[in-house]
Amino acid sequence: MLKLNVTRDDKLDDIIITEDTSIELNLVNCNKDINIDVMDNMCLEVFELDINTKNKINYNLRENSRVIVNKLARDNSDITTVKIDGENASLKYYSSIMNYKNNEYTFKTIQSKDNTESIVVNHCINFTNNTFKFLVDSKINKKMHNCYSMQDNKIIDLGNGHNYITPNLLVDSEDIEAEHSAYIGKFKKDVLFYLMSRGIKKEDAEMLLTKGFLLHNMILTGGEETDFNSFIDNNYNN
Amino acid sequence: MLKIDKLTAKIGDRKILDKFDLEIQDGEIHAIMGPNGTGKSTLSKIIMGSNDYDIKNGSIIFNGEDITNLEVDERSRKGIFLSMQSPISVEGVTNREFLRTALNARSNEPLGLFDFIKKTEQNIKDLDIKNDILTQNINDGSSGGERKKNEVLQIKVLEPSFIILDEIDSGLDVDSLKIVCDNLNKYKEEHPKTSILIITHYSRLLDYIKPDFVHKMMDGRIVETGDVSLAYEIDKSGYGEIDA
Repeated sequence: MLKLNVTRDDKLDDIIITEDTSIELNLVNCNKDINIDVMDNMCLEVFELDINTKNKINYNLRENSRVIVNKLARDNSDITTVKIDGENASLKYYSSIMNYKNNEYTFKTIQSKDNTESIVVNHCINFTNNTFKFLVDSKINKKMHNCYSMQDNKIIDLGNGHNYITPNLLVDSEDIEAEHSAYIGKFKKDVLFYLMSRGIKKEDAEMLLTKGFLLHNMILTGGEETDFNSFIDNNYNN
Repeated sequence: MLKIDKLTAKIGDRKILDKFDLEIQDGEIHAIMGPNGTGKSTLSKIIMGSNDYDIKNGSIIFNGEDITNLEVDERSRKGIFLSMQSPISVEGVTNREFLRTALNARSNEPLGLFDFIKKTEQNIKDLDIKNDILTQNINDGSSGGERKKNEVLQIKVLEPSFIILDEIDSGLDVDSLKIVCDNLNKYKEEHPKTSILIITHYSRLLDYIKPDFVHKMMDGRIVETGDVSLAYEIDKSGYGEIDA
């Protein structure tokens, strides 16, 4: 597995994927341009653990390429743009953010070829009274056929934060399927009651729900699952 | 075991329990029957500690201790278990994480994975539950019957001393009802001091789990107490024709 640990002063070249690849990204305190180009017929999976970043991340997906990103971050104001530029290309992007400061997370997909799909799941837990924004655009260009686009955005407020979601679907074609959803709220009261009714303290119940919420849907194997769980442990109310 | 003394509870302006009295001794099985909306499920949630309701008067004493103002999790750790009428699903939390966290909350020593598997394996078989239940999210995609079996699995793993069964028979087919009740009866045999409060609409459940006392509940209070024959009488005649 290609493994990249990047901090503020590290230089990072463009990444061109010419064979099936897994990348582990650990980005800490940085503000960089990161370009990842996935060539025809290639599969890429990314496991990304970030702390305090404002990166501009650009993906370019070529024909028949497959990209799965599992991203867990603390305090993230990245701007991510995914251009799906090849027929039959597919994106599955799962971002989960633990928010403690004022942050604005921007995500854009642009589908410009037929038979493409983008599935984008953005989850955030805002632990404080600071502001968090999800700005999410899913664009499908004119005259596209048989495309699918889905974006699911949720923010759980554990402080008294100011939370915003802008879930845009920008679609100008009839032969596509597109859906979006947005939710801002607390953990459901009846769920907390259920867990606590089995003897679990409120703070432990919230921790269980936090992990479930942040890691739900991600596609993690044993090693990554341990790393992602540890990341939450290390950054939970800390 | 449990003494509820003149408990009055409201939700908004509506009185749900009205000077409600009930006493259950160690090892006893009680059943409460009553029409819809009479406060049976509310009673179960109030005993468990739900803060959806305002307790206006009265007290709940459990094993000699006033628990009226205790939090839900504290009541559970003291031995109270509410098997819910409609167990909810919990996204992203597996049964394994859930049960291990609940077990660890009861103990100073964290339970190892091997001991946890030993504790759950036979119970899963006894309840005829799918093998992969521990790695599944809580009740995610489960049928009503599977959810009720999961409630009984939790009882057998957490070993409470006072169990409230809120319509455990709803959503269960005949075979599943028998499995659930056989497991509860076995648990009761192995834990003879455990007390059970059954909330049900139908006497068929009481054919499987024999109560020592049956109470008829109307308008937030118990209006009649008898043995199991009261349940059959209610089944036959309804609630309206039995004198309060």
